[in-house]
Amino acid sequence: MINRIGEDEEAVERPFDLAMTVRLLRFLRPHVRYAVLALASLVVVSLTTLVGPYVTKIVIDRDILRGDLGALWALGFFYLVVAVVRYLAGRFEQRSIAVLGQHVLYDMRTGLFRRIQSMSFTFFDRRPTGKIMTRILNDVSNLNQLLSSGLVRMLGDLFTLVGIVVVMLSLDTRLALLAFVVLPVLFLLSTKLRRQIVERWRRVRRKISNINANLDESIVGARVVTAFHREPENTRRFAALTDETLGSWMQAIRANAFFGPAVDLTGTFGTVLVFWYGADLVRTGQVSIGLVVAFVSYLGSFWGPVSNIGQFYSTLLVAMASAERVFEFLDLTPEIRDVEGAVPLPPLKGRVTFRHVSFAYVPGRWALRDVDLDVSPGQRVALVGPTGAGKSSFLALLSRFYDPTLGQVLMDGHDIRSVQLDTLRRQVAVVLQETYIFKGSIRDNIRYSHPEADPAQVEAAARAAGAAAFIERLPEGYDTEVRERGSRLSVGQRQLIAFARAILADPRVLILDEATANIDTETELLIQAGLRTLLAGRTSFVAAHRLSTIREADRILVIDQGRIQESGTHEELIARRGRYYDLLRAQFQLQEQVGWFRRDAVAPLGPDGS
Amino acid sequence: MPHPAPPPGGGGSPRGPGIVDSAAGADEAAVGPWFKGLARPYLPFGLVAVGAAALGAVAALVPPYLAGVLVNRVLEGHDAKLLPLLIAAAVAASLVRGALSFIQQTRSERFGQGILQEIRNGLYERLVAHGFPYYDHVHTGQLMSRLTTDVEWVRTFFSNGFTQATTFVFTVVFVLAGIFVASPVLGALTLVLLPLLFLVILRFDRRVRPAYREIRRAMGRMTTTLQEAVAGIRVVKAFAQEHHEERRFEAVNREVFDRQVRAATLSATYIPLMDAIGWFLSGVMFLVGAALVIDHAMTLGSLVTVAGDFIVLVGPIRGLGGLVNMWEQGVAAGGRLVELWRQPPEIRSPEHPYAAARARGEVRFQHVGLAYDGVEALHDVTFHVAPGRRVAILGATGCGKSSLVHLIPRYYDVTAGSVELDGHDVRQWDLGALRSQVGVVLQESFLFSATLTENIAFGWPDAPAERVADVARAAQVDEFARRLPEGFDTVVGERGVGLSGGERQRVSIARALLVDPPVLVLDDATAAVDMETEWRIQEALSRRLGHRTTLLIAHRLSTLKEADEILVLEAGRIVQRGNHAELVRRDGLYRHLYEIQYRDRDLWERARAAGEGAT
Repeated sequence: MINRIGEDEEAVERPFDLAMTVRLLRFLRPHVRYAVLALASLVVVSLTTLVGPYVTKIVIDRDILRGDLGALWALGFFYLVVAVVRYLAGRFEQRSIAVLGQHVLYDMRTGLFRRIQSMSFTFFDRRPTGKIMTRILNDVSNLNQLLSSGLVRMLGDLFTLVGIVVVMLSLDTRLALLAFVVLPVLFLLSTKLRRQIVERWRRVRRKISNINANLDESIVGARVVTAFHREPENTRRFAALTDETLGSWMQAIRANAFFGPAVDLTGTFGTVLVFWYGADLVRTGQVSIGLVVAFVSYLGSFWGPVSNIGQFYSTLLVAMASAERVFEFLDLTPEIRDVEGAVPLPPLKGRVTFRHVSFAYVPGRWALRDVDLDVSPGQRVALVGPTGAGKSSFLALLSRFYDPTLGQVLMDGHDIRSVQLDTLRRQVAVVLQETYIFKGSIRDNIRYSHPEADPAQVEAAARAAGAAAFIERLPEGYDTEVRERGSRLSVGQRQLIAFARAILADPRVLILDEATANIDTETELLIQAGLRTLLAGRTSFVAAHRLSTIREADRILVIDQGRIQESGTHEELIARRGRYYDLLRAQFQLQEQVGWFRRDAVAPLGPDGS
Repeated sequence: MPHPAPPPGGGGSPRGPGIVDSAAGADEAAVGPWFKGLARPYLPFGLVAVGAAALGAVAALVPPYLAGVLVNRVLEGHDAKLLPLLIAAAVAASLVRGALSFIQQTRSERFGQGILQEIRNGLYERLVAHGFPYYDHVHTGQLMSRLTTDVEWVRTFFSNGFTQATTFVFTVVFVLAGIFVASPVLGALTLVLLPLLFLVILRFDRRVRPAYREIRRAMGRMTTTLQEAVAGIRVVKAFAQEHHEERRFEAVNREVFDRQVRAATLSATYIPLMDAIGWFLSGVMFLVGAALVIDHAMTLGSLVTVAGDFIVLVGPIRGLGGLVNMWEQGVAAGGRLVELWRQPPEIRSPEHPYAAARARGEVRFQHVGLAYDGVEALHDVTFHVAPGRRVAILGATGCGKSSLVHLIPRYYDVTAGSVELDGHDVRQWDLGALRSQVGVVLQESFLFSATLTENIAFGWPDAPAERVADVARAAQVDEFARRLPEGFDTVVGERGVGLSGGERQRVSIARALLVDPPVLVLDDATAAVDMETEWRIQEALSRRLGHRTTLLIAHRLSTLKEADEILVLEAGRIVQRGNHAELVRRDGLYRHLYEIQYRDRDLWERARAAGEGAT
């Protein structure tokens, strides 16, 4: 397999940033009661942790050494009560943290989704779908770890740690200070060594995602692999990849397997120190045996909180990188949006006016220049011209996918920038060259433009578009499940579904980018028929490639270099023998000349007829 | 001596990997023998790991024992001379334990990794050996989930499950023995109380698993909804359906929320319960022990030992639920994988294959019939193409054109009749040799996430740069490659720069040209290319096509009218054949199509004539 993934990964970590953290914390505010509840129950849980060893001390020193059996019953009861409290508090803690986290996740995902939906096309033009999805799914989850479990647990652990330190110091200062010698080592292990381990696992994950991407392409591209007999080569490359993965996996495991023993050894040293000095203190009668045993127990409880705080640090750095990406999206402002005081567009008659419209995607590079045009309701307009002449830009301005740089686009006399976007787009429908098919039934796909439509309406639209014949031949008719990739529909069939969608929306103004693809003749005829129904009775703008479509237009606009070069009916323009005439002549001359087995290859005429 | 609990592993979590969908087509009886066969070469790693686990379980008893001795002899008995010895022993024990744990972890992972690699490479080899018939039916998502999730479960089974299970057994046996030695009464008590904890753990595991499955499903739905809303944004905006999409997304988002909270509520019920029970039991043990000490039935040191032992025991027991899960999932995943593993490819080289370095390019179809899943696609197709001749195939979508050409490189096998290349039935050819004779430009031009150059050189990775540049020019790839950020080194495909349909087709043509096959098949190769580019490609190709057999599928009659022979297909049968001049003269489908297609042209001619008349 040949592929290159994991080379352009986004930053995984960023240094701590206070302003960003404060902004993140704001997401907790609406759900602050869960945070408080979680924190309160965490404190109770840590208190019960602290009680254990202390009871041990009492039992050894007071009851065992004095032989007092009766007190044990009371302690047993005490244990039971503490266990119940510990259970209830633990339950509250875990549930509150989970609910808190899920609320934050929900809010963030919804917020991001809304923001992304409101963005205009320029935003999507530059970004692959996968990248956008990663922000909503993965980056948000990374933040969740920090905001819910991470933050709350860290506070709980800090409390436990301080509690242990205080209890130990109050039991015996000398012994406590001695025991604390291991603390810095534990902190170092939990940060430095752990970071190394995390880094190694990250490398493993990257390798695995390489393997998975490879597998995915091998399946989707299996036919090409077969066709070019690449099986042996691909198998060799794949084996090299799994070899690499094994290598880095073992590296990560070695670091991992070293970690536990290192912590264990540090703990042993601490314990040994306590016993060493403690034995001396016990011998001289300065402390009790129970105290030494309890001390060792407390020492054992150090590790948990220290480890968690170390982990919190890693989480924090990862979250900073994710937060930056999430905020980048949340801070976007859509270029196309309702202006202050936008009014609903009243039901249209279908008059469309361009008033000295110029448009540039990038400043200075004009896609349209000074287009001035008035189209009366119900007129059929065909746009012709070479690729890149400005036809698509012209169409994109009509439904306000972009705003003109200069001038105005008016519908029934309303500047489309001054009306509410959704009221505009409900009345101005677009059929794009490539039809997007949503996962679901064919019925749902047609109904997409008008979700409340009933089955009869859907079927009527399909009939009008000429799609009914092929749909009804499918085993499950309108209920046949389709999806974007690997869908069973041909290019032509997708077009017909798009037509049906547009007919169902019943717009006053219709915009269509005619497909350039070569479709088999039968389907082509169906599409022509569907197109006629689609355009009937509406103002329409078609970027047309087929003469049969162009010829039937009430008005043909010849567009080149961003300007309307000629305008008129087919007959008028033919008679004029200008750009239109040349364009057609070049096209038909080319059509004469294309052919896979020509013996006499002659250069075709350029689009300008030269 | 009590010691800190071991840190959680950075690798596979005890819950194991993501998606599970048991049920579907598992063959669990075959799993045992398959696993055994896979594990055999790596068994030494596994055995070393088990050995280390057994010794580790013994070594775990040393610190509590030393703590007990310390309490009895040093703290109570004031035998200060023993202290340095005990301390040295504790440090030594920790080192030994550490070494054993290191060995156990790395060896058991090596064991699992060896098997993992065996499975991955083996499956990959088998997958690419499958051809078109297999991939016609495969669901990419499902297959991917087997190759990733199921494979990961099997690894977890061997890497973690296998040694954790042995460690569990050893630890329980040794520690119980240790407690019994220290105090038979406490040993008996442990034996009674521990199953209680077992039960809670197993019950939790049973209940939480379906909850996690629900979460994964809801997440899947959310991902799909999101993916569609983003990929289909143009349609969303064209029909102003943003609110509709928002509602849809919020519904799935809410569902994920609900499922997550439900699972968390379950966890929040059971995990603190297990924790509290464990905590309470160790307290009870300690108090009973204390009573025994007061009764002089045991020493204080033994009590400290037992308390330490008990802590050693609780860890593995907590992991029991995960262990059971690991086992079940491993076997279920293995059942699904063994099915993939054993499925032979439908199309294979014969035992004594024929091969030629370069075929002459003579293609013969004799009474060929083809049926997919019982539906007939081709019926009694007979024709002959002499070396270097050009044949065009015409017909409506679904009439069998692609099926026909797919039979030449044996992407499918005929169900009746035979297909021959150079007088040898294609089923007698060595598959690799046969396929390198036939260059096919497929209808769907798939690009891999690799550089443009690598994509063109797909069939010949070591091709000289000039050759690649030459075919790229011929297929008009360089025309758009120059506009790409890094030219021919630009990564394209799913994870790279997106190319238009027409651009992809041009790469596809270059790819087929590079291998310079004696037989070239163009299956609607320029459907998405504009006419002028098509003309340029044809222009560049006209010189190259000369010496090779060419089969062409196209819709536009103008592009195929110079073919030596045109086959008109309708519902899997050849209904007309001949050259353009003959076919136009005859009544039939060809002429019908000709009339439709040239209508535009006639319109133009008439318009031009009228225009001329007017002036």
